[in-house]
Amino acid sequence: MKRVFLGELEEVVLLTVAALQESAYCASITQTIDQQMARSISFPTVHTTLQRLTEKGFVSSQMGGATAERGGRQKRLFTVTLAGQRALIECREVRSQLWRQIPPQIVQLWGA
Amino acid sequence: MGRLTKGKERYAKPPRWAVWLLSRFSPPGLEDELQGDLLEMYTYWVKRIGVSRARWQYVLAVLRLIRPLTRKRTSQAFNNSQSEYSNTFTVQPVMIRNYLLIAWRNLRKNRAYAFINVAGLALGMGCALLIFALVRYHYQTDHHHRNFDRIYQFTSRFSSPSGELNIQGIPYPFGQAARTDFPGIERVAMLEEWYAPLVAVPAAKGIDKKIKDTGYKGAFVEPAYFKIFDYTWLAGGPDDLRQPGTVVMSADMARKCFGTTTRVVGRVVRLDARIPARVVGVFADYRDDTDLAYSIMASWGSLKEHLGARPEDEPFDNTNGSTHCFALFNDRFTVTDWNRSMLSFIKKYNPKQIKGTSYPAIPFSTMHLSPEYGGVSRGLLLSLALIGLLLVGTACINFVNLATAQALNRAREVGVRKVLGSTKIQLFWQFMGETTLIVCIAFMLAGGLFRYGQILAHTYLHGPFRFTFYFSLSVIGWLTGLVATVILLSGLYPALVMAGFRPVVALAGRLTLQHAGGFSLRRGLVVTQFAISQILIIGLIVVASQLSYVRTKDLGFRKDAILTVSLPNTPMQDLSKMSTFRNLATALPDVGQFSYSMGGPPQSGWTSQMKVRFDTRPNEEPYGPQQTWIDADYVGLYDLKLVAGRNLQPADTAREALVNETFMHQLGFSRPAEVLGKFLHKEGMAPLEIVGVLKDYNQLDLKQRINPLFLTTLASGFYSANIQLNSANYSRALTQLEQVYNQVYADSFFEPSFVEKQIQQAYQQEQTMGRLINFFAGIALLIGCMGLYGLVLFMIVQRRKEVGVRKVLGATTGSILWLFSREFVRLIGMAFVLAAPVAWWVMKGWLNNFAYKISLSPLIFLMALLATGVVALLTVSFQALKASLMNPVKCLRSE
Repeated sequence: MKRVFLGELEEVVLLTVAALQESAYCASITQTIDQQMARSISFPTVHTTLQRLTEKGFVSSQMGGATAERGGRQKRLFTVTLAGQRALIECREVRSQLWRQIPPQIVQLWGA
Repeated sequence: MGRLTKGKERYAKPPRWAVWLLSRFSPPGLEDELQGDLLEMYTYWVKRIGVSRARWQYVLAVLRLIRPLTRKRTSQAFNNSQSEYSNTFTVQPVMIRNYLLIAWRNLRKNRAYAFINVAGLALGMGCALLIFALVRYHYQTDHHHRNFDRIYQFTSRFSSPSGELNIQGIPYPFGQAARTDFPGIERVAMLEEWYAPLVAVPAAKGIDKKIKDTGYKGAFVEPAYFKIFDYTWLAGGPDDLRQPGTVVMSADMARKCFGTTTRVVGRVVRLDARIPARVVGVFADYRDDTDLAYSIMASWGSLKEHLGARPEDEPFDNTNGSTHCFALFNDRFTVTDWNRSMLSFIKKYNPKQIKGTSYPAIPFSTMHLSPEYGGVSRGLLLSLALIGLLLVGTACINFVNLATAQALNRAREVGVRKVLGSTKIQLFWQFMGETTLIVCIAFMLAGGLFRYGQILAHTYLHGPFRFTFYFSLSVIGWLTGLVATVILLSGLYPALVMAGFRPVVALAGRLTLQHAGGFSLRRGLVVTQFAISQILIIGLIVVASQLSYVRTKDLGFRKDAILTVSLPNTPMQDLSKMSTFRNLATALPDVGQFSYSMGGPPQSGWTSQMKVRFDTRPNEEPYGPQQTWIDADYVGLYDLKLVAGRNLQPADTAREALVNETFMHQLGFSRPAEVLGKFLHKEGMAPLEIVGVLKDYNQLDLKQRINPLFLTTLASGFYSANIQLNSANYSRALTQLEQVYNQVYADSFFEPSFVEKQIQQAYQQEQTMGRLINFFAGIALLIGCMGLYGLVLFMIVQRRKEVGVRKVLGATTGSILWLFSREFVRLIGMAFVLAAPVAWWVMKGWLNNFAYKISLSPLIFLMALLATGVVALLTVSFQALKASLMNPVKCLRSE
């Protein structure tokens, strides 16, 4: 079976969903990425990415509690599915494998 | 403080319209979460990047989230759990492509139908554009002057028990007097119009180059004129106009005089070919939408040489229609101030006529649309606008007619689309879109027609019929409005009808035209259209026959092969030059009789009236007879008939007079012998002995009755030479005459014109009107025929099976043709019943402009009926013939 490809943006969003755990919804995800990654990312982009992840089956969602801050509107809370977990782990493994292939002295040279 | 907090509160929330947009167009089911998320994001943005950029971010986010801008996939992703089938949205990119394709295929399939639709709409809109341009031209005239709203024009009003006379003219010293007495008026400027200015450009050697064109106007102005009105100066300026003997001209005029616009300032021209004037400025050509179309403007100081009198010395009771006075009012001196002080002003300067004379200041903005001052009447513009609306309206309704007649062809498509899930709204927009496509194509064509119409109007129409467009924002707005209205009017009904087809009925082929709209409405429409065409055609025939009557009527004098040449425009003619010219001209082999007179032919535009005293009666006659100066050869040249007495003796001063029969009757005599030998007394002139009575001839155009008239010899007042040519070689005669003329009058301009042509000029307005009616009648008839075509198409579709059955049972082609034509003969008859009385009433009114006119014979009406009938039957039989020749198998086999 062909492996489902995880794009870079999708990976970031998926990781953020995992990191935020219970409080992962579109606005909080956008703000976290904005603050922690010092990376300008627009709300609609995150929204679209989350939809794409849902389609691929990496996240699932359910409606959650409303707060006054959001005008009494409900949130859609996201959790990482099993497939999502597997995709993230796989992703990390591929990377660390590549990292390991770099000769240690060169990594040292980079100062990493 | 309060405001500040209020402002803060306002900015604590995202833009309301964006919130609304999201609530209205958010992907189904997602509104709640998106609104909440975005609200949170907004608070976050406000903290991080400030209010204004936060608002901007919010709007951007909303725009990217709402449909139809998001892709279908994204909006449905979350919905799978909620419903299996999603709602379809009206506007889908894929479907739009499909709609366009189908629309294009449909247009190609029914080429004739598409052509008629496009042509009809294009014609209607083209006419609307023309009329819009015309109306706009008149409402925008001179609006481009910066001070437009503050400019006033002093006018003269003469009141008498018999009525009120308003003229633009003002006494010569008026401007100076107003300036002296009311220093508060910001600017006052006098202007004397100078018709058909003659300008000579001195040549280094040989004879001077002379420029004269009756299409031009010139003026003598005070420099303040250029402070009131805006001119763009290409070189020099108006300031030097203070000195006499200076002139400014338009770039066009400079090119005419010198062939260039550069280095013109400082050069000298001679006004009237005699008054030297230095060019001190060249201004950019005036726009077409102005009443102040003066190509050359000389200093006010040069006027005395032009007129032969000092304008300032002229009395206040002498008012000339060509003398104008403009003023720029401001807050310190308003029009109310003027009205208040006018009486004392008149008392001071014109005490003799204080009773009947006043000088109202009229806003310059209203002059162009005031018929009493020679402007265009709003009524005319309004009725033209109405015609324009009517044409657009009928074109739209024709479209509706044709579209609904064709609706059945689309029934299956509608059925299939509905079965496959199309909603009514989708179908509605599809058909509206198709209409939009057709209207847009038609509009482009209309633009071409408009351009063509402009060129036609430029060549064939005169006077107020100008179609120049100056583009501005409001024009674009108007054009968009026109297109939108046409789309709505023509698209709405067919789209509603077609979108409303029930799929079962449509697919079973059981749809009849009962589903596609009523029939009596269409009939009513055709009747109206034909009534309009018939009214216009009757008008056309009446105008044409009246004009031909005017052209051929015996006016009581000879008019063929006679031309007039104007003498120099000087206060006193040089008698010795006149006799030289006469001797040289009569020596030419092509010249027959020769005569001098004041105003050219017996029927000329020149009318001057003067009160006279008859014989020993103590008082002046209550009416003013017309007067004209002629020499002894005049009667013979024009073949005027003497009823009694003899012709005038040759003389240079006024001694004897001829009177016409009307004058004799007005004096109270019926036998000529009673007036012969009596004297006419006139102030400032020797008594005139009546030596002959002339048979009445039309000295005025045929719109007016023959007035009392007397003719006498006064050589210094002659301005025309009347020359009879006795060979058919006019061009040779003209060249020779020009040589002779230039020899004698080196400082004047040879300007021959044939008497027959001059007489026709009095009817220029009528001719213009005739051409306009021609044009509109043609268009109305064309649009009417399109309506008819739509109707007959409709009927034939509806009665296809009937025709088939009739043919099977043995009907002939002729009888089927009659079956369809019968209906239309009736409709045209009905239209005629409506049109005839209206046309009779309108044309009767028009003919009343003429004292001599044709009678409205029934033949004219019958001709119009016949013309529309023939055209209509031709249109009908084209389709009807096709129907009657059809093989009955084709339409009957399906059941």
